Amino acid sequence: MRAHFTSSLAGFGILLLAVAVLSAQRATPPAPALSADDQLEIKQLVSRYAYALDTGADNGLAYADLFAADGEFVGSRGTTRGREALAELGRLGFVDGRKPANGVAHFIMNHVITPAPGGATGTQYMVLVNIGENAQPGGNFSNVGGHYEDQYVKTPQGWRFKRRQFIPSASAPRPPAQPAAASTRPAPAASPATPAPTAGSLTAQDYLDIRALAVQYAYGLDTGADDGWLYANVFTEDGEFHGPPAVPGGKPFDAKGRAQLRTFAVPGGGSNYVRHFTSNHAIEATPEGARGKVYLLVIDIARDGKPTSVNMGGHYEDIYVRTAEGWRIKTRHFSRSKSAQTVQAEAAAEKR
Amino acid sequence: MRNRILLGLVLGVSVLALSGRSQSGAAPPLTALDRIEIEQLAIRYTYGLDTAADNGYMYADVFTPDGEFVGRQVPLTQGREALARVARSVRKGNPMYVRHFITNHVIEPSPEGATGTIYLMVVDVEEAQPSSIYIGGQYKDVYVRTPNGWRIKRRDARAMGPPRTPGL
Repeated sequence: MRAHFTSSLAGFGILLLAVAVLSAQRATPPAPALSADDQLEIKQLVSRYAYALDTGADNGLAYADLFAADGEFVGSRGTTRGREALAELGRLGFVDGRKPANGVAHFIMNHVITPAPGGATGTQYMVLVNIGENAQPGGNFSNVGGHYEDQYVKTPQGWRFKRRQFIPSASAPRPPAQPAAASTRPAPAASPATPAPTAGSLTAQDYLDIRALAVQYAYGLDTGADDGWLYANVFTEDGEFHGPPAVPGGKPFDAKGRAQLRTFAVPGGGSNYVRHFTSNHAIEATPEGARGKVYLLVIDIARDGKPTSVNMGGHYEDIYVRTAEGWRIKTRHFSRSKSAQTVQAEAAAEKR
Repeated sequence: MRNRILLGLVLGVSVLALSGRSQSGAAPPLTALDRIEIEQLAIRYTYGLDTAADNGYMYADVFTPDGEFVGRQVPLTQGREALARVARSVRKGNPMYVRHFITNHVIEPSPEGATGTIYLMVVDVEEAQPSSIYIGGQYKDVYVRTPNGWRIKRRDARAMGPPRTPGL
């Protein structure tokens, strides 16, 4: 009797567990994959955001209509929800109480998009730039910069913001990481199988994956996330980075292998820290995979209470290969921007 | 006879449908690869201008042969040779030089191909020198598909610098 009772109890337990697992699965459906078109439409949505906010077009409705009917924006003024309230936000002047002189201010870069149940999530870096103010053609970086955290939803009208939050850049140095133990680090999950491309050609998804890789690099470096592994894992296992020293006569930045690469990203500035703004990512197919160039601006946004300034700028030259984990950077070389005159002067000095 | 009438009706409807399509001038949709190629085109523009590569032709060849650039200071530059001269005139241009940073590229299909708008900031960011934003604004583009891929037919950079009537 006791045995029968025990087995009945065990059976009931298994049934309960199965029901729990099933309802949990129902409660959190797996995130559907995003097509290349979906990803590009979401990128367009984010680009349109800048135009709508910088111009206040259509009496603010161009801005409001980027949000879903129940969409909301969360910023320094709290949460704004509903078309009329969002339109009012879209009309708001933010340069001495008015819109920017040139209708250009929000420079949004480093867009990461991730599939999520119900749609997608995303983040981008943003720096607010004052250009053309006071009748001057040039400008400067304002002290406003940080990142957006978004939820996107696909509506009958296309992709829209369900929620968008702006988080100002803030450095929160973390404790130094433990020494690297690459061999104990689990490899990232392999990407879903994709058809092998014809040699020398790239699909739309390849371009998007490679772009995402270069953007992930910036997040990994700035945040130090995952103990530096977010950064290291954008490279192949034997990936390399080479860059000039931070100061003349200093030690160059050279690393090979993920364990060495990881040290560049630790401790990192924490999840709200933005600094490496990348853009102009040119990608070309090669027999080996692909190669690319990316522009970089390292922007210190109101760091230590000082006005925002550009720490340095230049470009990366990359080699990408497709691995079992997906596209990865095999080599990345960084060069600081130099004029032709400086390059010639350096070459002449080397000859002497 | 009945078959001839039927054939005539079918042909008539087809002709009407085709002429209706050409008259409406509807913008054909852009594929994901179209959009990416147009983005890459706009990016290649900046490398062509900043590096002055290939004696300026890397820059010139992002345009159609009759492509044109309209700016505030130079009203119109048209044609491959004239455009290449512009890139060659960038005194500091070389493979290490970066200056034209672009982002926020909105692309729309159009009956002719596509149109686009891009934010630009021209940043002087050379080693060992203080950085500054030289100029900034928007490019407004017309793109067409050619046998060699997507090209810029017209780029309008008049929205650079301060507005002509400050305060507006």
